[in-house]
Amino acid sequence: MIPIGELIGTWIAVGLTLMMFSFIYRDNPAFKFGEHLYLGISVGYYVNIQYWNVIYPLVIQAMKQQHNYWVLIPTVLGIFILLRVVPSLGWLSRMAFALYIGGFAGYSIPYIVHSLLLPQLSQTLQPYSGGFGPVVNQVIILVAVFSTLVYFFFSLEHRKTVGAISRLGIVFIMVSFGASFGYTVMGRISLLIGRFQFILESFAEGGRARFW
Amino acid sequence: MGMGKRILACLALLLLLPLQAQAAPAPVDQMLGDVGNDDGSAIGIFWDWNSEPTGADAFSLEVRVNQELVDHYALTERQSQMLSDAREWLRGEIADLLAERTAAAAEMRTANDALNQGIIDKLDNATINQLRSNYWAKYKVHRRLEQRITSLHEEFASRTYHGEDLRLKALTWEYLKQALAGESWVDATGATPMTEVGTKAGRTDLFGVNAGNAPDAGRKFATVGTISVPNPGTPAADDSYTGLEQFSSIPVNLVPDIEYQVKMSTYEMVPNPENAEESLPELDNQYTLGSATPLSNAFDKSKWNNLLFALFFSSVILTFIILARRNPNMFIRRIAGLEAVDEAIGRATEMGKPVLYLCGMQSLSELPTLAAINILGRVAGKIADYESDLIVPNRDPVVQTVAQEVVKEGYLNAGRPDAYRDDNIFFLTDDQFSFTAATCGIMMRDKPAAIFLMGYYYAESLLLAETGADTGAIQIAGTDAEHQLPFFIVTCDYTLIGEELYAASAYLSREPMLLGSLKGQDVAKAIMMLIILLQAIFFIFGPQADWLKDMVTPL
Amino acid sequence: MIFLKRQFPIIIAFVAGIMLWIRYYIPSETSNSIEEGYLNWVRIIVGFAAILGILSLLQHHLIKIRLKRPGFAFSYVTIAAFILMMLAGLAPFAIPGFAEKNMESGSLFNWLYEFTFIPMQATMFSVLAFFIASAAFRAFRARSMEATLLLLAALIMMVGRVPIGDLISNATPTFQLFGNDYHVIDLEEWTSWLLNVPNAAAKRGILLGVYLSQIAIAIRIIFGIERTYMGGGD
Repeated sequence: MIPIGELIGTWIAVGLTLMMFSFIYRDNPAFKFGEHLYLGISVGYYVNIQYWNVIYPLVIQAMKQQHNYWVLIPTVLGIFILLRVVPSLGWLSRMAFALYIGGFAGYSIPYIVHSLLLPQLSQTLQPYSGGFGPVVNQVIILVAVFSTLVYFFFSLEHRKTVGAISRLGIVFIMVSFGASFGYTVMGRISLLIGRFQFILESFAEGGRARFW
Repeated sequence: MGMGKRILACLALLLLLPLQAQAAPAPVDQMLGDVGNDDGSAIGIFWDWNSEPTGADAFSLEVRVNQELVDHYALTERQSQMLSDAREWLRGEIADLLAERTAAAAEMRTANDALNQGIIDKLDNATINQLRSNYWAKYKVHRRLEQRITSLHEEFASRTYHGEDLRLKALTWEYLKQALAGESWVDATGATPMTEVGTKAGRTDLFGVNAGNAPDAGRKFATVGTISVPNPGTPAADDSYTGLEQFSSIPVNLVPDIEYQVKMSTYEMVPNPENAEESLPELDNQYTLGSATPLSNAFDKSKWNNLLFALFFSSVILTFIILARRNPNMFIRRIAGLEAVDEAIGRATEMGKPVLYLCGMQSLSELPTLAAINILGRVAGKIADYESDLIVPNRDPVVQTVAQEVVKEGYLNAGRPDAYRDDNIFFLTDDQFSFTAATCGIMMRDKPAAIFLMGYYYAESLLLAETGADTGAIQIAGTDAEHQLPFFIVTCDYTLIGEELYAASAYLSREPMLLGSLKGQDVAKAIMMLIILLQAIFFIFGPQADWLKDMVTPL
Repeated sequence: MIFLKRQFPIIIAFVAGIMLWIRYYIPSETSNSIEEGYLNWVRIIVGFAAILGILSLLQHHLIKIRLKRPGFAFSYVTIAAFILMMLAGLAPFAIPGFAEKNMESGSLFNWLYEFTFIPMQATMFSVLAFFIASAAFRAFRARSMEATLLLLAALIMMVGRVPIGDLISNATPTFQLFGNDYHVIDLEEWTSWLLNVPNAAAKRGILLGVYLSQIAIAIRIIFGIERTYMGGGD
């Protein structure tokens, strides 16, 4: 026996699924309704997440229970952002942005080097060995990385040699995009099947809504 | 493309599907290990891909930690953002692969069974060869999928761990070796720590630790793993299955001044009461091996190459910014997508339709969003000149606030502060797909004449760009999201690829300092090209230049 | 005053940036707590900014209703859904008919989440498949050399990934090279080559440039060269 709330919920979920699917056909009142409902629900969700996961534990509890009054600094900075509604005090929000953006800029640099830049560079430095095929592939990789980088040279005029190399670079870029495009196209279709299965299963057994 | 055509196109592709995956994709969420089990035994964000014990005994060596450490590893906002970004990315990438792999594994098993049966039935050589090559073909397919999954897994890991790792002063592995050496049944006295594996008194169901992935003394984390070994008593046991190759490891980052207990658990495989074909692991015994407390250094020596590269690239860029002040007229090559900005805005004015501008799906702390905001400032000035409307829906309230500020400034500089409207730059929602649905709604109803898609995008890129293309707008996209670029290339009129997104504000403003920064980036790129070239040259003419690779490999 | 409005924010950005950069290299508790504290502070700041975002959304819809712009009736749906969801989670008591309050499982909030939010999210995600199909057909209208290359690579990938590709490959004659048998057309081999060689290499070229740009923009922010994000005015 399925609880009544779940039964109603499942049928609502099926209805909303169909409403959102109608988007494929064209813009229509059903989709408009679904879209606006989804928007409202998701913003309500966002408010709750911000309150229960951020403001409540980090500000209210921190001050009430742990007597950590340092959190007053970001609270004041947060209020500075809100003061943007008062035009003459709008400049105060800059303090908050400066801390937020400036801090993250410094925070990102070592992480970009560590987890993005160096791994890409070190993966390019593979040995030129392992037989005819692997060596040829490694040479192609060298040429491709090189010519792609040349394509992104902004301070050089792309004429003569530089122009030729950068044209080779765009060839590699396009082949690469084609490959990942084709790769994703076939994959995404199977996600659609998952959603159809949900509808069919729900009709069949009043099953629970699930993500896939 | 009309909707009828879209459905037809989809049906056409669906025809290919019966030939492809049958099973619905598995829920990816379950594959993410948690931060801390309920009992606080495991830590770190890890990938629990192949670790379920199947058919053989499973052993695990755990680093047991106290609650303090588990708390330490509670996700920060940034980490959970990274995790959810990585999941969003992975969801698009891997779901179908998993289904394919399951199918391929089944096919491989069938082919293997057929081959074995053929051998047992003593079929003729030609048939056996046929069966064998069939099996190898299936094996190859499966292996490729495994490799793809592994590489996605690695990329996922690199997107989620941003190395909160800390170096040990006391080498825990050294310690572990000694602790284990005390147990008579473990042969861990070899020169390299933890590479030797012995079994206890000839029993095949109990043994030591860590066969593969020998951690050398310079490594910064202890490795915890699950090892499966054969047990003749269980149904799926197989002589060729050495178990030790099944080793999978989870790096555990050590935190200073917190005590770690090292503990080994052994599991007995018992028959599954619900399915006689299967067996399940059951905790058999646990051995506490001791504890260790790491101390921290003043400078993390494993990060020296990071510091070197970060300082080097930064100073190159800063140098060229300073040089640009002296010589403000720098050359910058043509960027087609940006030449089209005026055309797009002009068209909007002619048609009396608005311009829609998106700053991407990330928060303001992410650099692609900042690049998009910079471009917005320049574009807003032009739009004010042309007297069109500008609509900017946002996914992040901070981005929205700054976008308002930047657009207002652009209108002011163009001498048209009166034309600026605050409520055209609004916040929609934080949810990825709700934002997408609402933005698509705006596109379909307001029919903007020009659409700018700048910043970072996930899977929704296609929904946005396709809907925009349907409305007939001129679309200019710019992103460094490498997986979304192909979709923008196909659906948009102009696309700024990768670095062009960042070069755009220099290009549009011709501000000397920004141009100088661009020049500095070119020089830095040339240096990286030099490193790549040097490695090739060393390979051809000289001794192997491992040091070069070591230098650029993050530790 | 001008100092507070102009220079002081730049100093904040510089100090915060340099501190969080350097702390990366220092493995100590203090260094960790600086990072943790900073990230929590940012969460709080962003939490407050959310209020501004919501005001902006409400303003947008209320203006739409007041001016009776086309489709203004749907704005009521958004506002009603927002208020319902917000109150369901924030109300200090359990909504009648539901066992729990706030975001607990068994609450109205959770019920709405499970039966409206999740299915709509999943549907929008699966709608992607239809759009990818039409994007695929858009790609077939290749006009330039570059677009043709993209199309060719995409075609090989699409056919090579389904069993038809195998059938095609196996139907072609074989030849010998270095003692191995190869099919004249081996789509499976081609697809994996495309993914692992040109695709991986070109992506690397693109990304290396991107990462440098990101470092550059971060440096410009720390040193106060880039300050668009602070907005203009005095």
